Amino acid sequence: MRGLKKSFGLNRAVDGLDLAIPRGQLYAFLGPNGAGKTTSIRMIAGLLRPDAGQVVIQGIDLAVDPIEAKRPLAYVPDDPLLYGKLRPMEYLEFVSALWSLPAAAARPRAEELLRTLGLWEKRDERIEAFSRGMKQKMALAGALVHAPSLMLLDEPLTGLDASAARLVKDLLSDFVRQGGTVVLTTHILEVAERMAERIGIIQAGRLAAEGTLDELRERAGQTGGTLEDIFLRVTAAPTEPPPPLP
Amino acid sequence: MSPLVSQTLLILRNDLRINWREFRSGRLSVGLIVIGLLLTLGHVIAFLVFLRLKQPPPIALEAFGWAFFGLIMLSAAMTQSIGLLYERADFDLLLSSPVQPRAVLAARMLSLGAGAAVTVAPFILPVLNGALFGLSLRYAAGYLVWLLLAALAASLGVWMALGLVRWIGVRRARVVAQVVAALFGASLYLGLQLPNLLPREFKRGTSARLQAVASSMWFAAPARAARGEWVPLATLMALAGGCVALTTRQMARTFISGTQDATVVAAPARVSGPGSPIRWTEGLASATVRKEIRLILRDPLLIAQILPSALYILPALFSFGRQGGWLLLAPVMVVIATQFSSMLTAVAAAGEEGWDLIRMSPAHDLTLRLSKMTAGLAVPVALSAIVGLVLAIAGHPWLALTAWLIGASTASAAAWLQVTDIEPMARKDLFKRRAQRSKLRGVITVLLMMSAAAGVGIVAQGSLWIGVVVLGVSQLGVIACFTFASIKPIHFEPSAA
Repeated sequence: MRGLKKSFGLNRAVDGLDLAIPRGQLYAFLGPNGAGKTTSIRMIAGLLRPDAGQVVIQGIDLAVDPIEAKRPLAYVPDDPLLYGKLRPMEYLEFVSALWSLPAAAARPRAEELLRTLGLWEKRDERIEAFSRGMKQKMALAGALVHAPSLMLLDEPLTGLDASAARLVKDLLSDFVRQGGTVVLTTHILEVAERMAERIGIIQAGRLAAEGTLDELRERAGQTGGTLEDIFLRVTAAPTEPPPPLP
Repeated sequence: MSPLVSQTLLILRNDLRINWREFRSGRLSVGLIVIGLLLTLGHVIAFLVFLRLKQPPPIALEAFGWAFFGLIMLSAAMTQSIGLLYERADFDLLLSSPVQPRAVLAARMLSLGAGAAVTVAPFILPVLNGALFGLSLRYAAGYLVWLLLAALAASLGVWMALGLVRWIGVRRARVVAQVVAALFGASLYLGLQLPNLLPREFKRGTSARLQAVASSMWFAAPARAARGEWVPLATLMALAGGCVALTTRQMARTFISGTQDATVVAAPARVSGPGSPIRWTEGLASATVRKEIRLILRDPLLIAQILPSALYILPALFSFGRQGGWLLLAPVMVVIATQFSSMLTAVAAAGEEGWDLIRMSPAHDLTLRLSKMTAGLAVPVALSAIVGLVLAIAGHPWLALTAWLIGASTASAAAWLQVTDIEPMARKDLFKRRAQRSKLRGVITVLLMMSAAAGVGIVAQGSLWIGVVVLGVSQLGVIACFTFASIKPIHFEPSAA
């Protein structure tokens, strides 16, 4: 991301965000409510057009060739909107088709994902009958079915019970181990602390701090401090107010 | 003022304020302009008619008028009842507060009544004002009758909603309420069609009986009350007041238990059978078509909203058949294909639930739009073919084939109009909001449909050349749609996070 900006009316949600996320890492995007995390992630996913700036995914500029840029991408919003009247396999069939995945490859992968996520027994039920946790897992299956190399997850652990959260964390760790890249936003700082290789803290639409946990500790002058300590220190620091909109 | 009344008024004021702001929000101001135009035009026509009348119209005619408005208000109240009583987001707040449940129910019922009254306002106000100034000041009582009928409709709507919810649960009740409301709305039309559906020997007797019913004391009571007659007016006031009071008093407990169930009961699991195999299709187009058709066929609420349109077509079909006019099935084929294709394509396109998923996928926009259009066309064009089969068996295979082809082509243009300019909206609000937001597309679709149906009808009646000319004009319109309706970007509302 280079110089990414986005405003909604007079509210500047993202204000000149510069960020490079290395491949094969789990990157945690942190920030207080309204800091611009979701707006940033939606711009990377191509769901919001930036007012200025550039998003480059694996060497492809999203604005120049959106189709190719989106091919390696998967996005799971915090409140995924699934098709309630479809059954799990039908949903995954449609998602696979959106990414032009051949049926011969997609079907066994869909079955495997449903089994891994504990949804196989529910394959004949409509998604509308699923609990929030099951829906979150269903969205994750939809994200993984087309074998992406970059996953964008907005609060992926919201509403999950302990075992489901563990399952999702294991899945993400496996995904990264196999060379995938994960960008996630979360309010659960322990998750970021334990799982993320790099962490970005965003405040008022700007990157307030970025680096590995050790680098952040060093910059914050909090050797041995927890991510929570660093986060509170960084976000409590007064930020320069954004310049008024023209 | 008693706590019940003050709490009712407090909630009602809040409800009406929210409704008014929703009505005025966004491009709905266009709706206000249209209503203003309707009211102006209605008043001009009403004053022209009433100022020329030497004496009041027959009581039977006025009785039918009030029955019509009453049934429309009842239909509106029934349609809105489940949403207003069980699906509002503020129940947690209201029912956890020290407000009496009866006040919540009373406020919701009055809100329902206000909604029902407003539904017919653009049509009833010109008539009432025309009668008041053109005939007699006694017609001022008509305003009161209007409000009393709205209160009665709201009360009946609440009884129906609470009964249905108790019987079959909130989700199914919503669907059933839509169908019942549509039946009530169409009942007067169906009643008036009755003589046409019966054999000739019964027709005259039925018409006479309908006239007698219309003039009877009970049926004509609202009309007499609207003329300022004290006895029917007082009876109506007592009836409406009694119904509202009784409903508030008797149904509060049922209402509360229903709202509690509504918040805790999840959607029932729909199982298709253990391990039923799912055929996996290849390619975006076929997967999208299959997905859209599944979503349409599995949405009872949607079907309940669309099928009532057939209520207005079916009596015509029977009537044609009885008069030996099977040929008139040909234009009906065009209407079925175009009308339903337009609606279902709008559902598939504007009613898409997973726009985020689609927008962040590398899928091609045009392929998706064309697939949605195909899904919207599939069922109506197949239905039209079934009607065509009846026509072919009745001895007119070429006419059936022509009508089917013209219907399919007109339906394609109507569907194309829906997929070229997509404005995402929630499926449950689709028909209400679509009508408000896409008036031009609606008018073009109706013009195409009517001209094509007229052309096919004229050909069916034997005037081949005139029919061909009309069909030529309509098909030119179809070509113009495909040529000039270019694909616009989808209007996503910006969302901050």
